[in-house]
Amino acid sequence: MSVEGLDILLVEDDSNDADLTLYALRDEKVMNSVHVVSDGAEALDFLYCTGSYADRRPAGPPKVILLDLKLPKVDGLEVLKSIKDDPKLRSVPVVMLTSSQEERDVLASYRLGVNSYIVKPVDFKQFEDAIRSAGMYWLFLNRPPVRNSVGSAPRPTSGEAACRAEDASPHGGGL
Amino acid sequence: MRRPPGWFILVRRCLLVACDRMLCLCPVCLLAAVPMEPSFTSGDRTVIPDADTDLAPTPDGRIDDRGVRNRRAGDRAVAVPSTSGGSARRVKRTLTTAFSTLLAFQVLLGIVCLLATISVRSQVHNVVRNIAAERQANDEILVDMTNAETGVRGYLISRNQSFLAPYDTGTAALPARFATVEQHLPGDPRLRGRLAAERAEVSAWYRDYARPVIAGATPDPADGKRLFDAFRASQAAVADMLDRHREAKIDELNRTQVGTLALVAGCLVIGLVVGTRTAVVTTRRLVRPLTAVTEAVRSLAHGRLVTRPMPAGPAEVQEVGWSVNVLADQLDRVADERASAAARLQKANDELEAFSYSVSHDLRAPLRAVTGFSHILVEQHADEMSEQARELLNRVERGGQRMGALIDDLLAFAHVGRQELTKTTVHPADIARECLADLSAEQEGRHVETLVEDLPACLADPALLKLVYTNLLSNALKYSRGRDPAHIRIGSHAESGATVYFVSDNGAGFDSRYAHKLFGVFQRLHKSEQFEGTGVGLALAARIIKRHGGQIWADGKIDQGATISFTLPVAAPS
Repeated sequence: MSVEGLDILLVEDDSNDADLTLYALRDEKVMNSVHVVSDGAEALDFLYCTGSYADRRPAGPPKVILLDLKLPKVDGLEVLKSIKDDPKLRSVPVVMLTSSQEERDVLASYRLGVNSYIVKPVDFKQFEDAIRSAGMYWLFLNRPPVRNSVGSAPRPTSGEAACRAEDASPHGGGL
Repeated sequence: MRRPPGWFILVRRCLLVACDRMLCLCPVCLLAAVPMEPSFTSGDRTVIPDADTDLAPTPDGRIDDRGVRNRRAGDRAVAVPSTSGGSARRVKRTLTTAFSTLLAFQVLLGIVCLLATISVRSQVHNVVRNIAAERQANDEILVDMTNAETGVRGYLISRNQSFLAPYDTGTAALPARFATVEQHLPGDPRLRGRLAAERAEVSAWYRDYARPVIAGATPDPADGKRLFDAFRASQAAVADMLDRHREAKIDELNRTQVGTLALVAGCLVIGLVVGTRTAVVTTRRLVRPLTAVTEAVRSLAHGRLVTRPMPAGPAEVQEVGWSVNVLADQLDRVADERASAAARLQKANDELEAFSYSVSHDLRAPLRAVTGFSHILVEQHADEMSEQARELLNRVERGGQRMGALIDDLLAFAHVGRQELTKTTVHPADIARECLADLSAEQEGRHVETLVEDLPACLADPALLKLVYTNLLSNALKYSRGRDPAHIRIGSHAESGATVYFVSDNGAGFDSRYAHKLFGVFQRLHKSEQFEGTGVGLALAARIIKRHGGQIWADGKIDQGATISFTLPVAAPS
């Protein structure tokens, strides 16, 4: 089922942190449905099925987005703003997964509508616990709304409408 | 003694009243004539227009109505509360004193003149009175002579002795009359000559007519008439001279009095003119420029460093103005320097903040890789490694963890330095109990006796005070680890008006020689193998207490426990 295709989008520029995150999630049976992108622009391309992700299948949004704050090109807060401003993506839970303990980052994230803010601990055991708890919570405990029922008047924003799960892109049939 | 004539009394009374009125009016005249308030009050716009002060605007500023030049265009005019300037007031007082002195001097002058007038008048009055007595005596000589002539004429006709009675009476009175006239006669030789002539005529009449008739002769009556007429003429001449003399004296008196009055009035008028002129000139030349300088200084003191007084008035006051300008330039420069220093400091602070932000984010990621991958290595590939390799990897992981803790503590320490304080009334005992509860893991499996006393409320940021107690109690628990039972006491006592809060334990204590090092960042008096820690906790506590305006210090001895004490501002009674 294509809707169930992707569980987690991990936006992380540090490959070490990405690997450690994947390792922490190894037992949660989500390994095959985690997609890792390394900067904010790529994350937006992935979410909006543009650029190199124009033909991705399944085209639906992930169940949860783990988002680093400090990213090349487009930073985490901009990605968060874009997601939360889009009625199609607004209901996708976004978990900030970052090293920053700065209060202003926490405040800015919550102001933009982040669902959770996790400071990555240096200690691996604590890190592992944090990632696992967050993954478990958002993937298995949290009950999301039925797709498309949030944002009652869906309207594409600035031509970059989120791709809908049910209508495949006209150019996307080739894959 | 005869009373002075009625006109004299009248004149004297008028004079006294006039002098009296004038003296009473003088102060009023002075006060009315001198424009006291308007010219001395700096804020008042009714100051005397000052043509002497050249207030031409300069190219780099403008001049407000008080003569204060503002350096930059566009600045508002100096808005200084329009209270009278202190210097202007002092000048006013000086002027008032000067005027009072002038007034007193004039009053004194008036009194002296009055006394002089009275003295002159009294002398002249005596002279006039004596002349009147002489005039009367002279008239009585005529009466006596007429009596004598009547007696002689009667005797000539009747040859009856009884007709000689008026003659005898008149003749007897004559010497006394002449004596009276001569007695007070003024030293005028012409008058004495006239009187001698009169006396000679009297003697001629007696010698050539009266005595021959009484002796029985019968002289020609025409001789008698001629002789008597001669006497009458000389008597009238004396009377006339006396009258003229008296009139001259009265004129002299009047002249003296008018002159004195004119002198007094002249002095008063001159005094008034000089006083008024002084006031006006002082106001123009001194008070206004001084007021302008005072206002400029006040404006400078209020922080408007662009204010520059326009030097005006006398050289001394101009000098004050120039000095104020120099001072203001210097102040301005210092303020500029301070502002740029503050800007540099702000920039440095911003950079530091960016640095710590960077440290917070970027330094922890590689550290996490170190601890994470060494952990994974031990966990996943333990059976491929020797015991020693595993132990080494464990040490790598512990080193990374320790570095992570250090970074976290350092960040917390930096954060406390720039965090805004939100002070409220807090109850330290409640905070200490919360901290003890949070630190319960540290007390597990140990025998710890904690005593939280009643502590007075204080004014502090609750979150930061909790951080203080967390650090102090964590230390107390850590360093008393070897004790059974460990005693930890959270208390307070009053000391010279302040409340001293303290946390004491019976733990490892410290060498009091190094007490001053306890509160330094990364300063530790114990090996980390002995007691773990980063050496930031007490530095953090000290920073928080100092930011609250309190003091912190430590007492202790090796193996005899430690007491950390601090003071905080007392909470205002609610």
